[in-house]
Amino acid sequence: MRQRVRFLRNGRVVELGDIRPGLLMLDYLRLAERTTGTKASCEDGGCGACTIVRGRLDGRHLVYEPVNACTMLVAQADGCEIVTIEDIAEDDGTLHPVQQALVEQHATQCGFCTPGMAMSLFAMFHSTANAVDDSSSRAAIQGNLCRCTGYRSIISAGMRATSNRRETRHDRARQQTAALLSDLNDTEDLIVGGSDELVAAPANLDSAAILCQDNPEAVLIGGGTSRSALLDHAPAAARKMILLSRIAELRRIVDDETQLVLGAAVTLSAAAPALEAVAPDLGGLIRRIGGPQHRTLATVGGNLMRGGQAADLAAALMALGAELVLRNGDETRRIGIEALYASDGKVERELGEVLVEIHITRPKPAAVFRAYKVSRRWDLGASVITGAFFINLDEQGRIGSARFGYCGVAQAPGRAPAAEAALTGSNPLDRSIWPGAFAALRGDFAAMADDGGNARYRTETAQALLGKALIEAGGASDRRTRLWPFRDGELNAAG
Amino acid sequence: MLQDKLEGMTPHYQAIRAPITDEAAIHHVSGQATFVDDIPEIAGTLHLAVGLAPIANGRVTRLDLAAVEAADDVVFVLIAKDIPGLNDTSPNRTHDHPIICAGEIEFHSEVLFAVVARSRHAARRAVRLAQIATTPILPTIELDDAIATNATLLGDYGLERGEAADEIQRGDRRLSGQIRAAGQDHFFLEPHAALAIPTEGGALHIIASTEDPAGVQQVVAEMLDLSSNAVTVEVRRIGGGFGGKRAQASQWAALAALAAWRSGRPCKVRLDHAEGVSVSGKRQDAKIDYAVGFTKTGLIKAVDVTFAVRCGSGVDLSVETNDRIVLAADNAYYYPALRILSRRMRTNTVPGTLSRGVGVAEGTLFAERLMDHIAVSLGSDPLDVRKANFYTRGRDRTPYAAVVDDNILAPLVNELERTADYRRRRREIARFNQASPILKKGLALTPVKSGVGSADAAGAHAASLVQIQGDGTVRLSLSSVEAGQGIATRATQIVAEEFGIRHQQVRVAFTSTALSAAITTSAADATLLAVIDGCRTIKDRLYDFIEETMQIDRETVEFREGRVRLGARQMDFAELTAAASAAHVAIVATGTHAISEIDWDRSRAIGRPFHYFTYGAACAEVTVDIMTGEKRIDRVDLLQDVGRSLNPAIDLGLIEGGFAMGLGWLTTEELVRDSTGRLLNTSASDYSIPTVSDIPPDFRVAFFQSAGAKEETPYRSKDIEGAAVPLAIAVFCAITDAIAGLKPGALPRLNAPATPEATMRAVRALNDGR
Repeated sequence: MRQRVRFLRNGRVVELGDIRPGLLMLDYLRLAERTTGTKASCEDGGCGACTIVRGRLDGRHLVYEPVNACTMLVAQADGCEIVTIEDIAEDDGTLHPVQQALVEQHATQCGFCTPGMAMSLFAMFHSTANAVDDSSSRAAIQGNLCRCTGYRSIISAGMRATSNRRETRHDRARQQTAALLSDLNDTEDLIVGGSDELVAAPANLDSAAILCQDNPEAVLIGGGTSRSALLDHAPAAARKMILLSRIAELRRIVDDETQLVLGAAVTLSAAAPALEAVAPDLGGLIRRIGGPQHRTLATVGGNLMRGGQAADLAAALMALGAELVLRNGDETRRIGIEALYASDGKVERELGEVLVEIHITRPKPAAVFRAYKVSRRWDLGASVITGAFFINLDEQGRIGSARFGYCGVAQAPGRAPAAEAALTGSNPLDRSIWPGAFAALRGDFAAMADDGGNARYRTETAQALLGKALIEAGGASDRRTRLWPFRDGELNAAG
Repeated sequence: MLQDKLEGMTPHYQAIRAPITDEAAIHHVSGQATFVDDIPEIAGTLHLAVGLAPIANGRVTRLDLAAVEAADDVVFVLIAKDIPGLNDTSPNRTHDHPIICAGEIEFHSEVLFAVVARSRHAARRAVRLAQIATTPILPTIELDDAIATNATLLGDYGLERGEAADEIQRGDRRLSGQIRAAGQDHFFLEPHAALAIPTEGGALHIIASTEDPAGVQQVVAEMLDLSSNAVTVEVRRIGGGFGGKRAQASQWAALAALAAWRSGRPCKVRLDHAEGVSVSGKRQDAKIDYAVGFTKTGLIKAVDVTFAVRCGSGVDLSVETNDRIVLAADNAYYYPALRILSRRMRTNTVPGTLSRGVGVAEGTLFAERLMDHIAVSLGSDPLDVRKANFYTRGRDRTPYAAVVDDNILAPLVNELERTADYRRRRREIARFNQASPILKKGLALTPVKSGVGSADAAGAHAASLVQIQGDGTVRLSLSSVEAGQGIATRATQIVAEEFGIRHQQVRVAFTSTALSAAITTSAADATLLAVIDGCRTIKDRLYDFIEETMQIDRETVEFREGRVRLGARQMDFAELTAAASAAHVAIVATGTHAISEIDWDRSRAIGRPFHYFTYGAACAEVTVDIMTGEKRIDRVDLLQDVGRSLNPAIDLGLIEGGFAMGLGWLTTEELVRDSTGRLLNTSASDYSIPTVSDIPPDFRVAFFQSAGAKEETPYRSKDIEGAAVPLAIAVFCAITDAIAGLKPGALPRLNAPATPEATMRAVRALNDGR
């Protein structure tokens, strides 16, 4: 067991033992290090002003990814390098190409979002050797808000920086950094704190299972990006936290002909290509969960175990008939994903239990899978309503079987069994069947009203999304049905 | 494209008209640019957090803070009784917005107490331990409830010409309608923050994230019964303000000052973002009811419109904001007879305040809805109806009787119509829509006429302090705060131009009540003209010095390229200023500026409330999914008159940024309150300002080639900071256009913001035949 968090800052190992378990990276940087270039704004992972870059080893390869310092516990940096805005210029003051481009493109106005923008672009710069295009530059700053510029100048800066490439200190230090990070990688469990407050990062699943049983009140953390639950000054502040991100067994992706098995701690970034291979709409959905900062840390398991209304991924996996494997001590159980949620949207997890795997059966070629998310804005939008539709068509083009998953209609994500039954055996384009199916759908959910929308809109949109899926299942090109089509060979950055 | 042309120009001595990068850009990108919370803390600095009211209307019956005081690291708590002087943070001293609520709660999340602790963490944590009991009274939360109960905060105000009601009846055609415009959070990225440091003799030094240091000074001095000269308020920059840190920033600085005054220790406050959204005043939402009479060809005969606006529980700057709305209700159009009424409604919500483009945004939204309504009813192209009603010679009297004498609407709109290929795209879109049952395209081209130099006194006066240093470099203090609008950069350009030096030799110091900022303003023109005035005062002294000591006529003296040309001779600028200084010539000067031409009689609503107009137009194409109400913006073209630009890069940034803020106001940003008045979507994820993905893939911005401002402005430039917000109305009108095709002749009753839900409501109303 190790009781000190270790991470790399500018080529030096920082070791911290005497810290509050809930200490956030943002507070560490601004209050302890007094590096105040990283800005504190929303403190809720919603704006990207505190974006920093985390370097980690992927195999032997050093990768740089953006994270929000306001939702990242210091303990989550264990074994990684942390790069902030202060670190990226050369020692002689020469600006990093992304900084230089931001200056030259007049991409700063008030300057408060700028360090976060620069770090998101820094991560992009160091993750490709190519000059990026407009859509890739946009994708890099998808998780950063700016109120002054209207973004156009920042998009240009991203493109300019990668076309005016030069070697930077982080390029030169790559090997040395990789070696240092390799030294930091150990198989010890990290435990900071004690019986009252603790943060633990077990190194393997057995340790995690024991820790969970010993501390049944502990909050399990995948990526910790839904930080509100952890806010350490909140009324229900978590005193004990168990991080699952170091556990190799939980980070495995097993992809075979019949099914995809995702470890619960696979990040959304890592899961996206595998899920996209299962169904293109899943990839589209994942890319609209948060920004790169979130998907770098957030895990598939964490997303599912969070519950609540905006459970887009849960709705989609319900339609795919995904199953979950949970472990409690030495016991495991396997359940259908919809069994995870109570009617109020809360997750029904046994004390001491940990989600291990998500099993997704690969759809047959004749099956149609569609997922649509409606939100006030395309990206970084809390889902108002998401509908996902799995439709097996028989040889006559009739619906053989169907599974529909929704979130945002009622308090909990759930299936629509009555609507599924109402459509089975029909041609998807037979509109005489639709009214009955819509009525069944209304019976499946008691629509709610909240800050995202009123009950009538939710009900009608639930029907509209089903209608859209049926139209597409009937063969309509999504160029005619979607604002961001991507099935006609053109993969739009936004969808 | 303009965006591309600005690259690669690196002028040496050309200061004005050049796309010079922001004076602080290198500091911004390297994380060195200092905001309040970044200033190294003096040992012993305390931190303050606020406790908020759990109801919107009623009495506090019990406020038990024993557990708060006993919490770890808490030093003391503050309640209303701890304020020795005036407990009021209202900007115009209307005494209706206490710094700490004394017991009668007027809006949800009003400040009830403050906790002062050794760390921010401890202060925030302790706040939650308060025991608060209240007796609630039914609050007025919705604007409609205030209208229904006739709850007004201020008397009605309006403009009238002719007998509008009769003229509407006499028109060939008559229409009436309604549109709602939502409120908007400013969503500056730097949360409200202030640091107060006690100095000797009971004085205070305050560094605040405010657009109005002088306003903070007044609130703090009166709160503590201190003389103004004992309270210094300074700010180097703020991380965005947009009007939301003009009046609304004083309260937080006052709380920090109160804690510092009481403890003798520095005290800092930085609100958490969601908290800041709850407690801080916003753009006000409006319900706009109108009737119009017009001819068969769409020419307006008379307009009758009422703007009922949510002003909240206190006056704040509601006189200024609501006046600006009615003064902009004409936009580009001549109304022969009119009645424009402003109703200032009282609700149990936080007092509303200034917001970027306030007035011109709401007024223009109304005028463009009016044009769409007329066009849809006649089956005409909306652009033709717009053009028919433009101000022209002989039809050029505004509702307040002043003549529009700098009108460039027709050439500007004609140019955009051509460059955006409006007519051809309209035909293509009609064809597209015929073949597309789910996705519908819409196109709109809308103009904006925006008045600059408003009649409120604070906007029209400014001061500067220009200090030439021993080495010939210049320090400068402004009476506007740098908030991202590039005022500091433009000021350095002006000083460089005036003295013929490099702009890099000019450094902008703090905006401080101890320097030039006894007056603070958000008016860029006045601020920059005050800089010119300061420079010319010094130049006058230098001319005198040259004439006296060298017998060289001032007409032959030229300040250029770091040198001063004195006929046949020349010398370094620094050499001249050093010699002058040695001869006791003051090379430090204050400059002032008061806009004099404004001649405005508010009580009769007659005169010139604006110094000049700036004109712009936007053309937007959208695609709407009529099954879900979602939209995609396909292309936007903006054409803006910037006068003769001081810095095209800054003007371009202001246009793009203002457009984006307008886009949020009109399409994605929605403030949702529950029945208790609590704001529900305060987090950055739930309150949806535009992200990069909302910016159209095809976004073209151009400046209209104009001769420059006719009036006295800084080098004939025009102030366009607010003018760009209503350019986004083209997107709103394009969404209207996209769904108008569902039922020809019927106007889609779309309200702003056009969220998917609001758009579907309008679609449903069309389908239901309403």
